[in-house]
Amino acid sequence: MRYIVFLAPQAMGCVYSALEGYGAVDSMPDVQRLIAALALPHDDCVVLDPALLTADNAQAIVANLAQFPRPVVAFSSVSTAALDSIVILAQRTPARFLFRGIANERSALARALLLPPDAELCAALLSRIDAHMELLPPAIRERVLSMFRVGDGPHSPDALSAAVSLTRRSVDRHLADAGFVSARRLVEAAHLTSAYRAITRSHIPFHAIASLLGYKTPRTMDAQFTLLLDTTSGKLRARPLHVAEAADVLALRLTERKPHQKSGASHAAAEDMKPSLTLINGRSRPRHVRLRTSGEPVSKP
Amino acid sequence: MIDMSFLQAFATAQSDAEFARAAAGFTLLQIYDTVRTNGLTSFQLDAIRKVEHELASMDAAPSVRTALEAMICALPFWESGGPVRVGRQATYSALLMYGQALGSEGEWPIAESVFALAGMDAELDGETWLTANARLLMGRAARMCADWDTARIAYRRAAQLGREAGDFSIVFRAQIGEANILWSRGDLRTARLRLTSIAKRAKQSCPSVVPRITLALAGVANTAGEYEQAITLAFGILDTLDDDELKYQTLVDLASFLTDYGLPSVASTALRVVQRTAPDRHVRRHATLNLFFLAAHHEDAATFDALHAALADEGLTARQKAQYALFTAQGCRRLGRLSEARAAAEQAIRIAKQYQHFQLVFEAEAELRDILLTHESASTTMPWRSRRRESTGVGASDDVTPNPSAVSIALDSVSPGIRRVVDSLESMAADSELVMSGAQ
Repeated sequence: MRYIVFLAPQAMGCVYSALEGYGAVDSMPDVQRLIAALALPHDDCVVLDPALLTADNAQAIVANLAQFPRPVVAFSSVSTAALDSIVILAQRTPARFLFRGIANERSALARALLLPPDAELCAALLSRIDAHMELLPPAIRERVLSMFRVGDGPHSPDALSAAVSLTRRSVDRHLADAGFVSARRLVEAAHLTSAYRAITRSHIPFHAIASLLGYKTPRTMDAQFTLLLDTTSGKLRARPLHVAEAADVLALRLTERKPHQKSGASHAAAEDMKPSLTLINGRSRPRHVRLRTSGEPVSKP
Repeated sequence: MIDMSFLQAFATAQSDAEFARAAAGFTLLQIYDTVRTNGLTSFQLDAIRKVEHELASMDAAPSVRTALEAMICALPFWESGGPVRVGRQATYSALLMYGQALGSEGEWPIAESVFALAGMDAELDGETWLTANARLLMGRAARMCADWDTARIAYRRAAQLGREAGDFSIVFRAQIGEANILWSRGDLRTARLRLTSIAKRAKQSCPSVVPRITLALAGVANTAGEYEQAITLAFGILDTLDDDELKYQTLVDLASFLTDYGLPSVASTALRVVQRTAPDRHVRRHATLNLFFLAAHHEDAATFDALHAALADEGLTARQKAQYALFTAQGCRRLGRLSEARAAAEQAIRIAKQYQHFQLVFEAEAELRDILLTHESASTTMPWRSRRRESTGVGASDDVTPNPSAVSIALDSVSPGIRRVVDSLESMAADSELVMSGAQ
């Protein structure tokens, strides 16, 4: 992967350290060169410091990114100059923002740089699930869209519900009504789209990708890949799927169930719910049926 | 948001500048609270501008000033940014920076409450990664306040959230923090087992945290009296570190282990490297205070006086002021300046009592008793009985409390492994001196 970097010299070290040798860095000496580089149809990841941009520069970058979409990482300290440009970028680009000066910023930067979302795959996927997305309330829709486009965001169904200021139950119900399988699967799909580029277009070891995504082992990551894409990370690297094909499979896995006519707790996001101690397949548990600790019946009722 | 830690800071402030610093932070947190609850209005913007105006003429540490300025910049953008809510992320980041800056100035109780606030609010906004960071830092702040239960709860939550956010670095650092609580409380065996198991898992999924675990293991070994192992472990990771913060923490800890082993002059060498080359002011100040401790116990009068004068001009935190007075008392007693020693010990007791650093109160009282005994012995020409354990020194890093001045051992009698450490440190010190002279 190639990175177009426009940062202050002291921040460059952080980028090199986070990249750990994976990827080539092309440092831009001034903002004009940066804007010129963004006007070319490549899909390199852009790493920039918004504090070094004026509002006009930010607008020019937004225009170029609209023409040739690519992942953007904004790495900056918190200052008024930076925030003026950050707001422009946040409203009109899929930029990911990292603020300097916090503990663990290196690991966050590593994830942002090594796992930038695949813009093409995201666009293809979002076009396929567009009809379902339209059925979601605006707050959830915006959040889910940004989750895929930015490659960051709520990392769990609970965090997603907190981010949209709704209860977990309401989010599950809205997602089920729109025909999505579950919030968990959406979060996992966002993980996959952010890892897709690293798997298909880099030589980053699988254990590093799994670790950056929060999976304990590559095997756990592969289990999710198999669930969502019918393939493992190794097979995907050896024989990358065509983006349209990957988007088709992924869209199908996200929306395998049809939209419900009625919403109800029993229908909502069955996958996310823990096995009930009182309900089996939506029915009351007969007294004679004993349950395992996992919640499954010992024998079929 | 009225927090006891702020009220305590106001009540114990020793100067107008100290009061103003705490008041600026407190006011900004109040403004943050109202912006969060009611949104941004012209009243809050006016209040932010006033704090900004006050801050311009305030005597504050650079890190605290930077963090407060970051909050001033971020608050007006609270609701900006679209679906990513980048204004909120900036504000939470600024809050965490403020907490970190307070911690580096030794104001851990306030830092703890700032981290608690940031963690709670960021979690409500679904900002998992920032929440995990806030809980991790809160765990550390609570540990520094000896609030073990809160620290443990915060670390556990940080580990959960770190896992959720997919950041193994946070997960393992939280687990290291929890193990550190164990050995801080004396359970060395469990701490060692826990750290070894964390190291095994971290090697697979997050190798970047392994040096931190090794350093923690070295701390456990040192506390257990296995000084050579502690020195070897700490020295072993020194070359592998690309993180400045951890590198200097390792050097300071190594100095502490060397002191305990009985090589205070080598410890001084390590501390001088930190004092000359560390980029952060508080790290350099901490190293100087450690050097002063060693000078008080081992060095000649000229070195002791030079460091005493150098520290007199430093902006020390309350705890450091008490330590400075205590080490002055210890050094003066050793050099036979008993009236000066007595005044310094009394000052140490007064400051430590005022800021409720009870361990230091106890040590300063013991020191005062020794000074009086020495005085009496001198008048009856009785020789002073030397003791192996005199007092607790400066915490080398925050995680390590070094043992007191140990009996010095000759360099000729150390093992080849330790000899290699000594040679490397001397070469590093020579390099740092060259850098210093080049810079000058």
